[in-house]
Amino acid sequence: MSCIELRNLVKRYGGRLAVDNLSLAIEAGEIFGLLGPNGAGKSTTIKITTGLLKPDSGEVEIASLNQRTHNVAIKRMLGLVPQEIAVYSNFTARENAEFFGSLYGLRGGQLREQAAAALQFVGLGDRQNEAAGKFSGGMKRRLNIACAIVHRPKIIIMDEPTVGIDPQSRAHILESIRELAREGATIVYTTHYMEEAEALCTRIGIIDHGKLIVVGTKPELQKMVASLEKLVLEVGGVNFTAVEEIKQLPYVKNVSLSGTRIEVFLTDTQDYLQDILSILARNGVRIRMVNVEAPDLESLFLSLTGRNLRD
Amino acid sequence: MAILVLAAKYIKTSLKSFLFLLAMVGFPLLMTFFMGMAIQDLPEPAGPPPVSLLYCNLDTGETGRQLDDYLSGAAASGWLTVIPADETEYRTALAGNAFQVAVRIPSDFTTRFAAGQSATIDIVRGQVSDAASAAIEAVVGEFTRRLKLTRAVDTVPDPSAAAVVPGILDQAASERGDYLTVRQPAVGGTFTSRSFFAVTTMVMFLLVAGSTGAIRLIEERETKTLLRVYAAPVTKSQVLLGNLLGQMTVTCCQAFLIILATGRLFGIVWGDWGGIIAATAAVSFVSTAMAFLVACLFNSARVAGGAVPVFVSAMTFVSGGMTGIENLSPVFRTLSDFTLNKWANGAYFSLMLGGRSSDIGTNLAVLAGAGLGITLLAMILANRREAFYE
Repeated sequence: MSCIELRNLVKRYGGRLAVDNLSLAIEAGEIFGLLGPNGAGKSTTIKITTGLLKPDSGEVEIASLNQRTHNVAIKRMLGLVPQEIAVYSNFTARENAEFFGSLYGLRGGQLREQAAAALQFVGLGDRQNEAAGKFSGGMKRRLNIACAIVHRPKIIIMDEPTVGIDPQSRAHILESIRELAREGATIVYTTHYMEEAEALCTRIGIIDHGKLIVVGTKPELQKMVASLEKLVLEVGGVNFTAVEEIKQLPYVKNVSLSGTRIEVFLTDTQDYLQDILSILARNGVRIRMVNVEAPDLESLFLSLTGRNLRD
Repeated sequence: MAILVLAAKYIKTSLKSFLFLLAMVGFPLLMTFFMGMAIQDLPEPAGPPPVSLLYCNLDTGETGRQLDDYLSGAAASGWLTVIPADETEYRTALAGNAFQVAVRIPSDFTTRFAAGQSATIDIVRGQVSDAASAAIEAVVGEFTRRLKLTRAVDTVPDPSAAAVVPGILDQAASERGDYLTVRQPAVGGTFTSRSFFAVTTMVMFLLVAGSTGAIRLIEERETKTLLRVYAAPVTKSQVLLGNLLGQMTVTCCQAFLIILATGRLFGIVWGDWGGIIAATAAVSFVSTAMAFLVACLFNSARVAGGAVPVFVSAMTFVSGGMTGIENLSPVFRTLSDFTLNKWANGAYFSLMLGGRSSDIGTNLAVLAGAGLGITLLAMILANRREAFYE
């Protein structure tokens, strides 16, 4: 049975469709990565999952409890690490952890003990009496996580928890997340860093324009990547008519433009190079460089959406 | 329990914020201090100037005589300038609006009163300041209270049973309706120009505290701590009530600091503590409700922080809090009834003049009603937001 089940979620903001009929099942103990560029619908999906937003339609079930009827009970099981550093800067690290712990019903000695343990876990044990406002960005991020795990939730939802921090703090946070998973927590991790998702997650879902485009384990996604080819062309000047013609070729999955660089994603085929070069020549495009590269997961995203993860 | 946790967090973050403390405590105390020092050299009257009382007593019986004696006696001394009038003069003055306060005692007042029937003294209020109005109501109220007690004791054969008289009166009033007009049952406090400014300044700061509360809520939205709180297993109403309770507590503390400081530094006597607590709770409630409303209306803490003080300052001016209501034009005097300051100031003025909590019931009801109305409006606006935490 799935630990988290999202069924046909739809959410609109005015006329904009933020989540488009999204369905997803996450098993207990997984580190599930939700991957997508900014504005893809990751945070909206997270807010719906955590009960912060009501979907226009669709259902959310957590540990077999329906969110419409058991919202508070579900919230008790969840720990949310928001995208922003949501801590009180004039509180010490300990005061922050204790306050958020107390919202989950922890009191007295148990609260103090679990708050101290959470801070120790993220490596802030020796800084717990310092004001959060004086912490570095990385330390604040770690405190952000500590506040979410102080009540020892079964499910931890992390919305881009490593944005804007140094590599050392990032490594520490990623290791902490692995440790939480080893201790039995189910983790939903949103990011637009493909390398993070690859390094951390047992399964990855790629989301764009509110739609879940593909879900799979890393080997499954790599298999999809293996069936792709990535042709990189450096041209003298971009001709949009040529690009449109290339897009119409039956074996072309997607075309991405970046300055004078054209990236063409193709399914395995033999004769593509001749066709593409002919189109460019016919449209008077001067070719400076042609290269065939081995595609990575980021290429898979690009081939599926036509957008870069960091767009 | 979550409400208390959230209220405690609110108070704790307030106490830890230097800017918040400066805005909530430092500035009000400084302002009150400078105001007190500036007004120290001004002549201080013993109270508000005597009020002209147009007095038409048609009752030649015992009660009528008692009222004549009372108004010329010590209780009313210094508060009133009594202008005797017959029925025709009384009607003419009323028609021409040429009076401050008019009192008429009908000819059958003693007869009806002695028979235990309904008897009414008419009190008509003209254009007078809140303080003067409170004074006249206090004087007449005290007289009617004495009459009621006399009448009640007369009707109780056993003198030892007089102790139960107040209870009997209350019961009779609730069953048959009050048979006398009683609005202010006590008089005798002190009221000075410094008292006036201490009250109006404090009320202004208590209402401005609403902007500080709003800024806090908006900042919590901006820093996403409110989102995190909403993600916890607490309901929306618990979050709102917790924050409201915290803000109300902080505002009450602010008021008591000012009251204690002005009492200590300038000898201002604020009056009955029960009344002070009730008035302060009511003003804090309405101020907190304003904070909630402002937090629903504005997304920027900076805009909210600028808009509310301007609005409160305007209300303070219109209510006569800067000039005294008697110095305002008739239009502004009418408008003043629609300001929160007027009802808050009036409550504290009454208490300073010796009134008790039961005497400021109307003021408390208006403030509480306004607070509830504002809260309701804010809740409607909050519910219309897709997510209040954002």
